[in-house]
Order: sequence, then structure tokens, then C-alpha cells
Amino acid sequence: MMIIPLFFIIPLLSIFFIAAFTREKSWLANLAAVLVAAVLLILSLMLALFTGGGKVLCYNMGGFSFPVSIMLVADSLAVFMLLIVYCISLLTLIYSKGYMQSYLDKWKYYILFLSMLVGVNGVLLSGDIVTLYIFLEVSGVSSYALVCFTKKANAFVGAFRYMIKGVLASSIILFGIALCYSYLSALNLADIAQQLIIRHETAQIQMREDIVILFILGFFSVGFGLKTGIFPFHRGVIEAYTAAEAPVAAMLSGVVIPVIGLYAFIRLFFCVIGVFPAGMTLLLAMGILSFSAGIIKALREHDFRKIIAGHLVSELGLVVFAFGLGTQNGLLGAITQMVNYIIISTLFCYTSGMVSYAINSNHTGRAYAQIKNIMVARVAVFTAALALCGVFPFSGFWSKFIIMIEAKKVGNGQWFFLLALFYLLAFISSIRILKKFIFTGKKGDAFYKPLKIKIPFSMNFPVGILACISIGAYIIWFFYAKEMFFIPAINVLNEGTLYAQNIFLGIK
Amino acid sequence: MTELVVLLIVMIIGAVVALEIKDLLSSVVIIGALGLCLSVGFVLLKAPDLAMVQLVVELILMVILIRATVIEDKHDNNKKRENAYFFVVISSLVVFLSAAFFIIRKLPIFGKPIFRISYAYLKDLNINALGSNILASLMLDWRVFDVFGCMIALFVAVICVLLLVKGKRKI
Amino acid sequence: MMKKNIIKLIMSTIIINYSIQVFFVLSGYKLQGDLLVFSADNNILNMVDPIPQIIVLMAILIGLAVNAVLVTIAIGLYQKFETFDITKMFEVKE
Repeated sequence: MMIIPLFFIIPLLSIFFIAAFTREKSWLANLAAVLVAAVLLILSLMLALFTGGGKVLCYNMGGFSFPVSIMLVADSLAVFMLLIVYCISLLTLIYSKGYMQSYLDKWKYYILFLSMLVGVNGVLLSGDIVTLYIFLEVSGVSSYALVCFTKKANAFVGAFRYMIKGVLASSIILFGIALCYSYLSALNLADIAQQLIIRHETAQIQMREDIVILFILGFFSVGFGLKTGIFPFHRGVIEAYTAAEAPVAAMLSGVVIPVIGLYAFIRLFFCVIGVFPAGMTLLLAMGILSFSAGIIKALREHDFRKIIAGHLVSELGLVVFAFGLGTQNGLLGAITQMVNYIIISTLFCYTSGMVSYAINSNHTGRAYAQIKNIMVARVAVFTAALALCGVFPFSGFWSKFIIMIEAKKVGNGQWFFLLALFYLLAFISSIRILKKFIFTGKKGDAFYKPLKIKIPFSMNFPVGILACISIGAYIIWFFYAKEMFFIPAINVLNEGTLYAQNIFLGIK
Repeated sequence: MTELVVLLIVMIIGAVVALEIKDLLSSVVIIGALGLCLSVGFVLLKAPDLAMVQLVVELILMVILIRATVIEDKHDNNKKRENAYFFVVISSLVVFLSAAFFIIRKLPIFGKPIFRISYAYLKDLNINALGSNILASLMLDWRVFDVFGCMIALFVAVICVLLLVKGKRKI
Repeated sequence: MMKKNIIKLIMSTIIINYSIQVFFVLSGYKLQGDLLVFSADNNILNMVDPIPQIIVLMAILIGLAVNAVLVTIAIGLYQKFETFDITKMFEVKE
């Protein structure tokens, strides 16, 4: 039981340590951060052992009991996301050791990184809607600070635009929380679910006739949509991807946005408010619109960073679409696609970091032809582009396959046709990426000069690991990890508002 | 309650004026006055701790904003941005007004909140243990974890300001 | 939100935050309720709802943190671009 608070205590102690002792010695800061990420990865594996098979671990703060206390809750979905978060953070910390060699003030970078991890932990483990909001803000402020870390002009502009939309999103979410509290007078997530069920039973109305809940859900979806980058709100997030430097962009797209955007919204929608058909249609529509908008944007651009940003928006849209499908296999496809999205996004961001490290300057569009020079980067982009369109042994295959099959069962087949059309466009776009950035032309490009700067091992290493995961681990997924990790995570979502009952079982 | 209604109307007018005025320094001053009206509003709503915190926060924010605006003293040209933003603003106005219309009827009447959780906490409260300001004792005894999260957020903001103000960026 | 000047953008977020805070505290008000202090003539069970006040307190503090970072970025932007006009700040190709 005491494991759960350790997720907060350990990073904060190391923030103190880094701030106090490692001003001059930045290798010590990096070592401390890597140790913290490794320890927390082991702790989340232990949590996975405890919650295997659908058990829920609760930790009440301060000795109060159920409806009154602040609870930290670890169930299978939260533990699954924790594992992913810590794997990606460990790899990114190893990557940043090599990348950040020419920057001053590295201790501030590691402090901001660790506080982002604290915020993400808080969102994942919170059982209370106010705790969710507060740690959302903590991780949000850390990510705003990290995006403008390099103090270049581009970084400031991107950070400012991302930040304005983030602040607006937080205000809308706070407004939703205010409405929720004044309607139901409950703050604990399980308590809100229970109060909602009681109120609907006594008043004999269905979910879709309850206007207040519809408005609350609308406010939450706008707020979390702005934070995630779903279709009408994708501009802010794209600005953040293009402005941030590589390890920050990898963390932003691989850790922060899936947790504070996707996980929080899915938790509120599936487990607290409860699923109903109109809401699922909303998810389906937003998902497929952002899938298409992202791909169309990627096809129109020529700069590597902007193409990546477009593809990331579209892959995330596919995840939202799959959550909207609602069947058991649909949810399996959604979570698998989320893992695929995280792998692709981190590979792409690492690659762009390698290029800017090699050129040692800012990102001009055509210099991305340097990718052809760096062998590891070539492998990475190759893997990521093929994972994007879902060719067989790469990671995208299972997820896109499952989503395609499930899309046929929902509705009248209109989703299936739209999905097939956009899969084709995604395929075309990834072939374009391969042609532009990997295969050499017959006459050499103007920028095809031999590299003078050697990419350090610590930058190659995480890229290699991720590429191997992307290729080989999908066999592991099919035979082994599926039952152990993915299916319990989906069962949490499937049971929906039975979440509240699980919490009661967990307390006793 | 008429004082509250008057205060709210003054705040709305002040907000509109602050955003439309061309001179940056005057609009920053109006924001300061708005914060003061908000403090008075909190006192009228029987929340004196909030009023004090709002005053202090307002002071800090005014100092930072004035530092930002006296760098330059240009006037704001009154051209607007692209049409997409106009659409966003109008649609959000429509959404909020319709929300106000539909929802406010269903929520508990003003002045009689559903008091479940606070009741469950307050009736077991021990006077001698926690001191006489209930809000402070609530914050530090019950919602202490959320306050902890706030402190982390403030710390991160301080680090960010330190980062951006001092130091060169590369060797 | 339609303005070009960055400072006006920041002020509009501040105003949105104020309005939401007022709404939240209003929703917890009890007519003829008592202040949240222990004294001889305050009945515990007739007090104003404390939870919205706590949440709004934390929202005010977080609003301070976020606005401080926003204004610092705005100052940095002014030092790079010599203007507060957001339509003039496109990406610089260095």
C-alpha cells in the first residue's frame, strides 16, 4: 500500500537534490534523473504485479474514509500507462545526456523534467477530480517551461501559442468541474459516478436527456481536446511540436499528451460519466476528423518537423476514433494504437534531434536531407514510417487491422469506408516520407555532405531500442503481453461506472 | 445582494473596457481595479481568506505586467485577426449563453447548495486540534495534497522565470 | 482573444479566470450563512460551503503561476522581435 506515495516522494527528493548539489556537475543531475526513472519503472512493475487480474489499490490520505478523503487509486489502466510513461522517460533521459551537451543550465532542465513526471504521476494516480485538475496544471506548467527552454525566437513563439491554448483549456476544465460539483456535490471520482447513478434513478431520466451532464461533457471534451490536439484544436499542439527541441517534443507527444489529454478524458468519460451512444458518436467524429486533417496537413508540407506534427495529430485522432467504437476489441485496438502512436512519435522526435545535433544549428527545411547521412536515423525513420502505415511486422499492423475490423461492425459501414480512404492517404504520405528522407537520389543532393560531428552513443542507444521494440515486440504482444497488460487495462474501461464498485472492493 | 449584482456588472463593463482601450498601461491598471473588485466580491460572498489571497496575487501580477508594458509604450492598432477567430468567439458566446439558460435552472438554487461532503467533514471537526479559522484548517488537514500540488506548480513557475530571465543559452 | 497584442491576450486569460472563480464561489454560497470561523455565534452547520472556496484558492495560486510564466515569455518575445504584435512573429529562419 505504501508504494503509491513513493511515486511522488522519490522525484521530489531528487528535485531537491539536483537543485542543491548539481549546479556545476551536470552529469550528476543526469545520473540522478536516470536513477529516479529506473526506480520508478521498477516500482510500477511491482504495482502491476499487485493489480494483476483486476484488483484495485487505493490509498487514503490523511486517515479519512471514503467519500471525504483524497484517494490515490491504482488500477490496471493507470498502471499500464505508468509503465509506458516510465519506459519513455528512461529512454528520453538517456537520449538527453547526449543531446544537451552544448546547453548551459542543465540542472533546470532536469528539474523541469522531473516535475513534469510528478505531474503526470498525479494525473494517473488521482482518485479525485480536484487532484486531477491540480496535477494537470503542474504537468502543464512544466511542459510550457520545457518548450521554451532553448530561448530561441522560434521556441518562444511556439511556447506562447501553445500556452495560451493550454490556459484556455484549463479554464474550461475548471468550469466543468465547478458545474459538476454544484450539480452533484461530490469530488471523489467514484463518488461522482455513484451520485450520478442515484440521481438518474430517482429522477428516472436517461443520460441523453440530462442536459447538465451533456453540457459538462461538452466542456470537458473542448477542454481536453484543446490539450490533446484533436481536430478543431490541433493548432496549439502542432505549434508546440515544431517549437520544442527533440527530447522535449518526445516527452510532450509520448508522455504528456497521452496522459493529460487522452487518459484523463477517457477516465472521466468511461468510468465516471458513463458511456452513451451520442457521446461515442462525438468521439468517432472528432477522431476521424483529426485523422484526416492531420494527414492532409502532412501531405501539404515539406518541412520534416511539420510532416511529423501532422502525422502525430492524425495518429492520435485514430486512437480517439477507436475509443469511440466501444466494443471490447475496439478498446483493445485503441490501446494498441496508443502504444503505436507513442513509439512512432518518440522515434520521429529523436530523429529530428539527431539531425539538429549534427548540423548544430536551427532547423531549416532542406537540411533534413542529412538524415540520409546518419545510419541510425535512417533506420529509425524507416521503421517509424512503416509503422505509420501498418505494414506487417512493424508496430502499426495489429492496431490498424483491429480498428478496421471493428469499424465495420459499427454504424452502417460509413466509418469503414472513410477509414479505408484515409488509410490509403496515410500510406501515400509515408511512402513520400521514405522517398524524401531515406532513399538517396541518383544525383547527390546539395546537402549530402559527409558528417563531421559524430552522434554520441547515448543518442543512438534509445533509438535502437525503440526500433527493436517496434519491430520485434509485436510478436511478444500477440503471445504474451496482451493477456498480461492490455486486457486488464481494457476491462477497467469496459466496466465503466462499475469503477465505483471496484473502488469499494479495493478499500475493504 | 444588490451590492453583489452591482459589483458584477461593474466588473463586466471593466473587462470590456480593458480589452478595447488602445493604451496598454491604462488597460493594465483597469485589470488591477478589476482584481480589487473581485476581492470585494469575495468579501461579500463571505470568503475573507480568498479576498486576502486575491489581493496579494493581484499585486504580484500587476508588478509583472507593468514591468512588461513599460518596456514599450506603443499603441495597439485596432485591426483584428483572421476570421476563424471571430467564428470561435461568437460560437463560444452562444455556447455559454445557452449553457446559462439551460443549466442554471437545474442546478441547486442560489443560496442553498447541496452540502454533502462539507457536512460530513464539518460535523466531526475538533475545535481544539485545528485552530479557529476553518478554511485554513480544511486546507491543511483535509485538502493538503492538493495544496502540495499547488506549491509544486508555483515552484516550477519560479524555476521557469529564473530560466528565462538569466543566463545565456548555449556555450 | 481576437486581439493582436500579446499583453491583451494575457489579460483576456486573466479575465476568464476571474469569471470562473466568481462563478464557483457563488455556487457555494448560502444565504444568511455564517463565516467560516469558530466563534460563539457561528453555527457549524449553517456555514457557507467551504469546498468551492478551497478549490478557488488553489485556482488563484495556479493562475498566478501560469500568468507569471506567460508574462515572462512575453517579455522574452519582445526582446527578440521588438514588438508585441503576434501577427508579426512568424518563424525566423536563422
